Amino acid sequence: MDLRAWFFSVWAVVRKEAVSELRLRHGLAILFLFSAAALLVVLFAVRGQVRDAGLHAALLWVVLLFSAGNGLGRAFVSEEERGTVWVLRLHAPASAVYAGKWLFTLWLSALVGFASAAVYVLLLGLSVQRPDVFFAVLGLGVVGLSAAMTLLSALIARTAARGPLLAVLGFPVLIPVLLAGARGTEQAIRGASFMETSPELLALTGYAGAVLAAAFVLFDYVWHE
Amino acid sequence: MPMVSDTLVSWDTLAAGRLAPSAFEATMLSEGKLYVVLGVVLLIWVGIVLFLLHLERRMRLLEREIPRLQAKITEVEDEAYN
Amino acid sequence: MRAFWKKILILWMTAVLLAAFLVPVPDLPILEQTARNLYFHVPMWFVMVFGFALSVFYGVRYLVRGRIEDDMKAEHAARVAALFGLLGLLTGSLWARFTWGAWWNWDPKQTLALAQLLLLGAYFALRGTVEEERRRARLSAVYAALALVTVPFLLFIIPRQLPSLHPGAEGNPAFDEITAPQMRIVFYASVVGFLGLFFWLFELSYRHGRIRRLLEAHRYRMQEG
Repeated sequence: MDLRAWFFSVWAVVRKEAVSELRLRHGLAILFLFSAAALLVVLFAVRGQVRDAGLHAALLWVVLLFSAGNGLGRAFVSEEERGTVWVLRLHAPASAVYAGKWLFTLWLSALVGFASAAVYVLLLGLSVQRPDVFFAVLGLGVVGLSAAMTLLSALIARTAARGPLLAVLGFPVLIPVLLAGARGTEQAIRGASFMETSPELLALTGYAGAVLAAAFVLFDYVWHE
Repeated sequence: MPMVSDTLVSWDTLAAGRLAPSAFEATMLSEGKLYVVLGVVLLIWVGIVLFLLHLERRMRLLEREIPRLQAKITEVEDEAYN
Repeated sequence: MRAFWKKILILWMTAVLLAAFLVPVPDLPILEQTARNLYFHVPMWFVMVFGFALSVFYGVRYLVRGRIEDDMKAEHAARVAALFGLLGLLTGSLWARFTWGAWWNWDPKQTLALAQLLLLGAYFALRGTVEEERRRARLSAVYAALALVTVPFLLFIIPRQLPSLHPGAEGNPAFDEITAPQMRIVFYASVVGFLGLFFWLFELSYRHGRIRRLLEAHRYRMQEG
């Protein structure tokens, strides 16, 4: 299959996702409401009393993980439930399906991630010394998060128990993202430069790359019977 | 987060008796803490034994099926002869 | 004699046990006689990592060759690896209580071992939710491979975020300093012995799994006709 056709199918999957997500399931609204709820709980608990940048960073990443776990993990489950999975299986190569699903998940999680981070920072009056580093860490973290979650979602769609299993499978795999992300965010709040946060940025980049590479190889085995 | 020096201090208070060690702690700290090694070896031993017992139990459950299967097999064979 | 190596192993482990208690260890403060735990606690960690890697190897081989035996081997290797990981955590906890002062210290190696046990736990949780044999084999192999990809990042990130109490970290004597030459010999012999023990338990567990599968197939056939 030539590259242009491949990209075309990727784009078709992304578009199909966008349409069904926005029209059929009110997925976006649910996703935003969920992260808003998670955010509110944390904000109520913190109420401006926390001064420690490390704690803020950790709480922010917990919120991100919760939104990711509940909203993004459904990428394939709904497909299986509606039976549209066979249409997709016939019309697009596995790698294009993964790429399309991942891109859509990435777009969604970036949207939710940046929105909740902004709300968190604004409502708590947090002064982030280096917003550029802050957003770089967030962006790279979200890439890794969505890459892992997309593969896991495909995996979960094939099992009997769907809801709680995603958290069980996702958390151990996402520990590196959470730790490096929280650390990088903390340093960005404190005003560390790109050089100083390079280990975290490097770890997040490497993680995203490694998981994406592995997912492209492994997705085939989940997708086809 | 415990720093290296903090834990050394906590060890010191334990060993110096300032925290009044319990009987268990006193035993563990005696003989150059050799009983800690004994505890570790026992833990490993118990872990392996528990694993073996678990296997043993599951094997027994399987063995219970063998006579039933054998009976079935002879039944089928008898039918074949008749 | 088919099980000749097992007889060698019994003698070998007996010799290791004797040497572990009889060979003198250097007299160091805090550690004192517990330096001997090097022979028992550290191999647990080695064996867990080895078993985990072996499980992923069999899992990937299942994906490539599609033989169900490989999947069973992967499952049983993971089982025994989890046993040794648990023992490593427990023995380390006991040792830490009487040298570092607390049962749990959030030491990087403790945290890492915990993270790996979580991965193994998730692996079994996944296996438990899939009824169909082939599908279970495929999905769990994919998850194990993804898990293995994330482990190097754990190794990279966790030690940067937590101060270590293990040998070699600042303020602690390095491995070289606490290990007299005679200790090294006993240590390596012990690692070999515990690896042998791993293979023995693994083999027993796998054989049991194979017999169970055979009996199940028979039971099924009997019911059919």
